[in-house]
Amino acid sequence: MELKTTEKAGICIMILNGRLDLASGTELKDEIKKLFGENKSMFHLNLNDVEFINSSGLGSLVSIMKEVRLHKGRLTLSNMASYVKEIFEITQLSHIFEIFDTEEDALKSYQSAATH
Amino acid sequence: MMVDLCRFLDQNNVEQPTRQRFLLIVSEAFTNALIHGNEINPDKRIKVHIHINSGTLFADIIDEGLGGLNRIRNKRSADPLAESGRGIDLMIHYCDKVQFKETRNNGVKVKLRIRQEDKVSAQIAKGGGGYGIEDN
Repeated sequence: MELKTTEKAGICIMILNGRLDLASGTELKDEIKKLFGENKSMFHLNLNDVEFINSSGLGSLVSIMKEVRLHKGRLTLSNMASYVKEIFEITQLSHIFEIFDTEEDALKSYQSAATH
Repeated sequence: MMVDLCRFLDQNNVEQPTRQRFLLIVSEAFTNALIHGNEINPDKRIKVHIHINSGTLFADIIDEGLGGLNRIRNKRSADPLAESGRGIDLMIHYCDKVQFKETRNNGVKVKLRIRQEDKVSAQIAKGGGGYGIEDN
C-alpha cells in the first residue's frame, strides 16, 4: 500500500492507495507512531484509493484510533468506496469512527471544533 | 495468493460486487488459518482450493493447526473496540454457506460458498445462508 502524508492546519492528511490488510495495516500503524513522535495527534485518512480492506485492516484502524485517543487527538476517515463503507456498517465500526463523505467535510469539522 | 485469486476471477468473468466479496471472504479464511490455525508457523501449510460452478464460487481453505474447531465454536462476537475477531462474522455475512470442519490432522477446513450476483440486480447480501461446524 502506498501512503502519502501531507499536513494542513496541524492535521496530518494521509492518502492511502491499495490494499488495507494485515501487512499494510502494520505499515500504517508504524507511520502514525512515527508521527506521534513528532507531536502530531490529529489525523485524517482519505480512503478513496483503498481498493480492498479486510478485518485485519479494520483492526489496524481500531488500534490507531485507540492510540489517537490516548494521545488526546482525533482521527477522521473519508472518501470510502461503497463496499468499504458496507464493511464498516456490517462490523458496526461506522458507529465508532468519525466518517465523512469528503476530505473537505472532514477538515471543516476540525475548524468547527477549534472555534468551539 | 491474492494475485492468483484475481487471475481466477478475471478468467471466469466474475464481476462486482461478487468479486470483491469473494476476495474478502477468502482473505479472511486465509488470515485465520495463518494466524489462529497455523500460529504463523512457517513449517505449516495452508491449502486453498477454489472453483466455480453454475454461477456459484467455492473456496476451501485448510490449515494444519490444532484445536481450531473448538476456538471457532467458542468464538464470541467482537467487542466493538477489539482489534481482531471480525473475520468469521464477515464470512458468515457474505457467504451463502460457510462450513467449518475438522481435518484428520486436527486442523480446520473452511468451506465457503457464494453465489454470483447478477450485475443488474446487485443488492447488498443480507446475512449468510447459514453456517455449520462439523467434527469428523
